[in-house]
Amino acid sequence: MNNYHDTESLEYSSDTSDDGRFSPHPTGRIKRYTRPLIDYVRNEWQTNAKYSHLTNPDQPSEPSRVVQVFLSIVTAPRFRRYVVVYLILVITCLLGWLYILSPRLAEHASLLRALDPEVKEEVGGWFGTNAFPGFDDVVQVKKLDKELLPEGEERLIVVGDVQGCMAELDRLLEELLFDPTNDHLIFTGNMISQGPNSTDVVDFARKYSASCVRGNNEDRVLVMRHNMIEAQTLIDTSSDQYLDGQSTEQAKNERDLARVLSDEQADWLDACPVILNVGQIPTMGQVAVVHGGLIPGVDLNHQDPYSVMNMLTIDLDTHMPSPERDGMMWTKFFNKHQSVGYASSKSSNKDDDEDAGAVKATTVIYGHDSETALNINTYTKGIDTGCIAGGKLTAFVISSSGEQNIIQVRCNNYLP
Amino acid sequence: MNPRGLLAVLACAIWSAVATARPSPAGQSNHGSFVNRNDPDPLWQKYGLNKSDEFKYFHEPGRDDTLGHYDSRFFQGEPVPDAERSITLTHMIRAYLNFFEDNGLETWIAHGTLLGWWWNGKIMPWDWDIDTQVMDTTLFHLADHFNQTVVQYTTTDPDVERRYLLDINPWARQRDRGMGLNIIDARWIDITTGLYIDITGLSRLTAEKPTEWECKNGHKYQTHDIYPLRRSTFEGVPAKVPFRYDGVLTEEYTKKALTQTQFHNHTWDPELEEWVLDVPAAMDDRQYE
Repeated sequence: MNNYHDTESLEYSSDTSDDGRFSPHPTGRIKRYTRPLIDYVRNEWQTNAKYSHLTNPDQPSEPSRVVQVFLSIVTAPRFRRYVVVYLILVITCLLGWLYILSPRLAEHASLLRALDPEVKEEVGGWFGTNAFPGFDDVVQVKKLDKELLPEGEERLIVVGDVQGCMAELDRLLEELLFDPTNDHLIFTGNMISQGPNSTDVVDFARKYSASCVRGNNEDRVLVMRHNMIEAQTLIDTSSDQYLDGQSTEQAKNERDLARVLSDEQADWLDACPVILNVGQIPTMGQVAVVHGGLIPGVDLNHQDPYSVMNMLTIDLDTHMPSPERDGMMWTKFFNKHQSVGYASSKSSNKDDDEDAGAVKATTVIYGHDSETALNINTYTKGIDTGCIAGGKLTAFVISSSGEQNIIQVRCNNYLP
Repeated sequence: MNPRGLLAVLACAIWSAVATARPSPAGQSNHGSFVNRNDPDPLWQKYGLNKSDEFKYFHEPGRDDTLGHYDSRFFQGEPVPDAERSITLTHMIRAYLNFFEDNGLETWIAHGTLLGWWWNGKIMPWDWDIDTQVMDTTLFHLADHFNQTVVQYTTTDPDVERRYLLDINPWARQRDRGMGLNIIDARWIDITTGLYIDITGLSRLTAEKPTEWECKNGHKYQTHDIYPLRRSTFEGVPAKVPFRYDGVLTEEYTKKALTQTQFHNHTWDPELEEWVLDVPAAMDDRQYE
């Protein structure tokens, strides 16, 4: 009996917790009343002061009923659950819009605007139309020998900023199973400076007839070296005391490195172009290797060399690159420029073969930006992964079919 | 030209032959030490100049864009016609750069001249003067060994023969702005027309900022903005430019100076690689209607 009673009360409680209307049994408490309920009514609400504030019955309690209904809905557990769910949903949407979608749309719009020829008229012109006079001892563009483009088992191995980390370069090539007869090495600049074995890296590259581009480190050291030769201070160090007072630590190290380089090493580095035009690679289109980046829409001969070696961001109004980090990353602009150009050339050449657009597109492989580290996009491949600071040394490997692989090794931290 | 000026010039011309024959100062470092305000005042010691009595050394016949770019001592009373002016400036900068190169003197092009170099390696057609810079040590070296040099300039064209006066402002020893009357430290003057190149020196004036260089006109540079100097070509002769030329130009003239293709009634023609004078077509039409 006891058992039975227990189950009865369980049922009861579960019923009321849901909805009383569906209760199958009259409850035990109500059964206790022996007379009809109406006999117990006393109309106390009419006399008791406690209820007086509710007793303005001319306006029957329509709003208060609404409130009651509302309250009952709000206090219903299922509703509360839904409120929480919807609230989370709305907040997610809002945050997603505010921090992801809206900035992306704005970025997309600003990139498209930056490519609009009408805007070009408005701002008075884009960077790169000048006839730059060029520098002595600096090679602007070099074309990679067609013989060196990969065929069959051959590979192109593009190595990011080595900065004198010879041990890591050795390990990377070991990892790659580097075969000098089949593989051609290309360095993205900043092979030298800061690390422990700058000259070894140069000798290694010379030994395997590697290709290279001029990085901002090479640029400074080499220009400095030419000046030192002219001022006859390459061997004579008597004026160093003077110079030290006005130089940064970096400049002092660069002066030391300029002295350490042999004439052969310096000549080899001087022959590294600002831009290496690799040529056509299947699936990648025209490929160029530079240290910093390229300004989209400007041909290789008219690229500003300082910008090519140093750019990180680009001004969307004038298309002028900057070595500063705050601003629009040049890679975003470059990819947008290439994809828009690719799409338009594809649509205009509908009858021609599909590759017509691909031929026009340019893919840039670059280093320099170790802070962003590995940054692989459709048309830009950033492979400086900060080896010198204990990051990684990266190789971008291109096979004859155009297949691309990334191989990395860990590096020691050589920075003080 | 007044007779006294002529006499001085002649005397200098004779001396210049001696001056230019000196061996180039190979060991001489082109980098200055600090200006120490406690040192004995070279202005007073060397020239008997009193700082509180600063007077303007270089004079121009006027202050506008035309007359403000002639040296009064050699001005012929009438501005030179445009075509001749342009030829004069071209020869003048070539002679200047060659002279400095031949004598192992360090100099580089600056301001509007650098901007012209950036566009096509030439003087911009609307540019009135030419600007170059030197370090203060070079400036003092010029003052000690080359002041009042007259340089003969000839080309393969027998009709071209010019003479230039290298004139160092005595107030060049005063490295701060002073009263602002002598912000140009030296001039390279075309003796026949009075047109000139402004030479300004850079000095380090604050010991707390050992890498900061200033000219007397408030332009500031870091050592690594300028050095190592890059070798290039200007008006067909070897010229040096600051290492970080992009930054130097945009800081002085904004980004637009490197991108805008219309300036002072000239339009940049990328095919010709020249600034072309706009033909005022609309105005012509109105006039003839």
